[in-house]
Amino acid sequence: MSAEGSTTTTTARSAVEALPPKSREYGAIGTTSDEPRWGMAVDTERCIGCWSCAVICKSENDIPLGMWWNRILTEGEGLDQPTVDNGGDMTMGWVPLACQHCDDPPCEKVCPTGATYVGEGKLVMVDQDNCIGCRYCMAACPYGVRVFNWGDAEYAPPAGTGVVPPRPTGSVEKCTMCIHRLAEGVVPSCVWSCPAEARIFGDLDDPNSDIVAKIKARGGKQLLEDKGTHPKVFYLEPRRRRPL
Amino acid sequence: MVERRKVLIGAAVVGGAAAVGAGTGAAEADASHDTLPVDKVVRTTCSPNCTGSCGQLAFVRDGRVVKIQQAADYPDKAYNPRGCMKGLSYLQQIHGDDRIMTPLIRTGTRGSGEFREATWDEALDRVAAELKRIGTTYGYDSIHVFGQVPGSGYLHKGANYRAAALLGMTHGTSFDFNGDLPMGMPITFGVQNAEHEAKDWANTRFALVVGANPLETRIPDAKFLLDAADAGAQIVVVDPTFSSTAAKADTWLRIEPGTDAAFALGVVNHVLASGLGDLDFVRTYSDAALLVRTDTGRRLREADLRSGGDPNRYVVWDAAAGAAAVIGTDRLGMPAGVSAALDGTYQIRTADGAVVACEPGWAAVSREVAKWTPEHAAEVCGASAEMIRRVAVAYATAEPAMIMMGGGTNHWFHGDMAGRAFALLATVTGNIGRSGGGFSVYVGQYKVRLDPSQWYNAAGKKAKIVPSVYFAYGPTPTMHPDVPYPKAGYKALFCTFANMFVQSADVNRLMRTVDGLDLVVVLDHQMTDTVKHADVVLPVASWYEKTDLTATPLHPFLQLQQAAIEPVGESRTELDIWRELVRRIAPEQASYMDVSEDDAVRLLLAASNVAGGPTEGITLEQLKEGPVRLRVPDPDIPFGDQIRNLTPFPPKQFPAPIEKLREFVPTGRIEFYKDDARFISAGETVPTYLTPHDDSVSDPARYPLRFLTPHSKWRIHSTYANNPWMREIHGDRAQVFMNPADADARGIRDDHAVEVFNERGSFVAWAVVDEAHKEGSVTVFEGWWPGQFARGRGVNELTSSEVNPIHEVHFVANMWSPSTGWKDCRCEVRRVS
Repeated sequence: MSAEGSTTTTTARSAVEALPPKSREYGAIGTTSDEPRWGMAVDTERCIGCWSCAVICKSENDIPLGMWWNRILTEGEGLDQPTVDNGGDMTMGWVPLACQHCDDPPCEKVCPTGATYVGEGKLVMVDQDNCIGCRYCMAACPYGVRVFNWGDAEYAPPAGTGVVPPRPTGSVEKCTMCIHRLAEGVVPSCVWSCPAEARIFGDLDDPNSDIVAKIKARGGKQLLEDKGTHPKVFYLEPRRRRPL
Repeated sequence: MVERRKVLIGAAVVGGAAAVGAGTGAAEADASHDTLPVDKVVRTTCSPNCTGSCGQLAFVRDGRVVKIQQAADYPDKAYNPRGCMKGLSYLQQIHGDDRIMTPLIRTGTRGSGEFREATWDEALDRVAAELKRIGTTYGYDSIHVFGQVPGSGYLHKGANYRAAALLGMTHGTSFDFNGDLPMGMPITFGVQNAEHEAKDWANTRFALVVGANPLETRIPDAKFLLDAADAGAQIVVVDPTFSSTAAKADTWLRIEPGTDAAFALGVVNHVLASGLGDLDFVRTYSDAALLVRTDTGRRLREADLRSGGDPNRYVVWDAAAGAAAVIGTDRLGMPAGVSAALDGTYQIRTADGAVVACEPGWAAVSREVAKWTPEHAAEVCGASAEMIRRVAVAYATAEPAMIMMGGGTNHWFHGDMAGRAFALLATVTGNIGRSGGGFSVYVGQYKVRLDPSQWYNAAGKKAKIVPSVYFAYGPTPTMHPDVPYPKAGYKALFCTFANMFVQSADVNRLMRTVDGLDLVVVLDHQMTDTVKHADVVLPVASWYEKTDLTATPLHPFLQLQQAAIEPVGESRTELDIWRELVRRIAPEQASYMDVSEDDAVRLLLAASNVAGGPTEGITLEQLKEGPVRLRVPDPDIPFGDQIRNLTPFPPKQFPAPIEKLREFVPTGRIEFYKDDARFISAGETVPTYLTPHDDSVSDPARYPLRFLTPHSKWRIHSTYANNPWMREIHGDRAQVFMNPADADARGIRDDHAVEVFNERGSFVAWAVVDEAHKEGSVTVFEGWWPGQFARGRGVNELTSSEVNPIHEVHFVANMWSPSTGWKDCRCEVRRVS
């Protein structure tokens, strides 16, 4: 450790390796099986619609201006505007939306080059160098979570951000579940950075995992279940209100 | 692609990495793990004016911050991770287009935004020469140093105070100027403010949230309310607006803006009428039993009873003895055997032989509360009488129950009355000083967590503090005589890290003051409209480029800011800048500024590093390792000592001497009856509801709508208004939120350009028609930059700078001083082409 104390590390290496020990401990995945099936649960009661997960995603992955791998939908009309029922009662809630990492991904089926594939941890990945930019996958994805690099990407600041190399122009990109972080044993950045602790990451095949327990206890739902995509992202329903 | 990968790190080379798991795409796996290396990761803190100072990690590559992410290393794990989307995006301002890279000297007319680049030597020589000329001609006190939120950077903001002390400049204020000083607190409890630490919210069984929107404005703390709900607590939100917080509540009550005190009094009325009040608690801890003379409205003192009696000892009616009993101010409770009456009128013979009718102060309080039946409160505030009754019963029977009050309730000319009314509710139910309970006002950054005197003061001198409201708008006829307002008036402004010319109330009035100044110097790192109005601009290092010390009101941790990168461009720290200026202006004082950042931190820690002090045993070296919990109780809740040990109010608060705070509540008790002459003449002796002040200044017929300017989720005041990611999310145009009824009546639809105006000013922005906002009100979230409006300087063209004379009864800067009533404002809206 340097003279600046153990909270500052100064050797060039991966962002995860460079984490101070206490921070790394916070985001540690812990022991995993040899063949995990990574998934995520989003507690919509705890989601406060703050976009911290979306912003850290953008920063971590050097996503150009105008593109989001992860965004927060407000149920109803505009951003942070309530739904008004016929009686005038208002409700407001949020649905964070990124790649659902389907077990039966329609995007993979239509990819003519095999650039989209199911990779480690059963995650849906894109090999950017093999992507020819045909965007069949974008048409096939019922969740609208893939984005396309049309032209010269713009970044703010221009030098870019984060720790993931930028994707080439003319390719399709999307959430990787921060597979580069998983490789080093820490949770995806959106999970780390959710100030409301609304995101639970874990192995859906591990019956003892927190994520499996929460999905069971809270009746976790998948988006567009009728499409037969079998997403690995689950949404936990809001709690019942106890009005006066 | 091969070239690109040269700089990457494949996961395969990382020793000890966890397996990601085998998959079908094994051949491509290496590429999917590619990352770019970082040179270092620095543990530091965020630091805008949000009261958060969240612990962050700065990831640095090639001398630039490439990622900011929560450190999540608080020793109390409940707080992890602290940080919001704004803090995570701050690298866009550090390295953004609006960053000021060099000193600038004005070339056009003031406000034209025309500058030329200058060397530091030229800029410093010029500022020093001007300050010296003004100082020797008019007195250095005619220079106003303005900065924001010292707690978000004790070291460099402290350098402002230290320099002001050395040169004799007057330093301004922010907590009161920002309207965040909840005047109900010093009036009632003798404290500047005093709130429960955020994690204690999770311990409540009932949360009454009034005029506060933590889900949007305290994002890192919001989860503690969710935790409380998860554990079965009921959440009730009282707000004119259907906010994000209201959306998570069990019950949302829509009230008329500015009527929170009426709501509170209706609730108190029903608590007492239902026999749910804890009158023993009231008798023990408050001034309820102290007798008040009905002839003068003053409290009865021992000195009234006999010559030579102590004017600082008070009198109760001992019902057991059927006689008056004198009580001291050294201990709460009642002397043994005294059964103090809370009602009745008693004929007391005074030292001069007269017989005076006296009654316990509680009698006057009760009389006022009795007027506020739920029905009457409902008429004023707009919530139903039935819901007021339900709130009363649920709040009074929950154990414990908390009140969270925010800026929506506080930011009114009579915000002190709302505070006094809710303090009364918390006290009559015995919720003061208990975990999960309390009356907490969460707005603004104020709390000085340690005794900073060794750093703030120098050469045996201390900066004179003048509330910035008097700088901005001139002294009032009722200004307290202790305010050290300069004899020659103000000639110069030295504005540091503040967007004062956009973010101050009644900004057109302020600009008339600014126009009359000889010199305007602005230190900042972003090209704000305040910077554009400077004569000399000095570029200053952001909080990722310097060492500092932070502490926040809601989180009892001391944290070190550590420089992640070198100052961007030619920017320098405040300490560096003042070192250079003092050396030029007063070389004999220069040595006092010749202190390293580390030594300044040591000086800050020193004075409170005493037995029982908040920094006892805390060292710079410990802080370099991460956040350290201050030596305060856990959970950190106010008034525990008063409630458990009957210690008189107020508790010690830095930096004011305790003797000054004792003047606020001379009885040493929670005071619901105020007997200072100005309270008596204003008819404000007891908590009551007063109609919004602007109703008597503006013409409600011409300006029928209330103009509300709450804090935005997407900004910290005006910080982040220019942040590209925030602008992608919520847009780049100021929005005027209107209820459909008000919009229809004016032919206004979504996206129409509308002018919002009153007698003080106007601006043009774009309408959003939204049921979430109450009929009869218009909401524009404050903090947009002028360029984000179609016309005008922004919301503060309309807001009011009126000073409430009650806020001038005493004077301790930021503790009992004028608090701005941002939301006490009327307007009209019309469509423009």
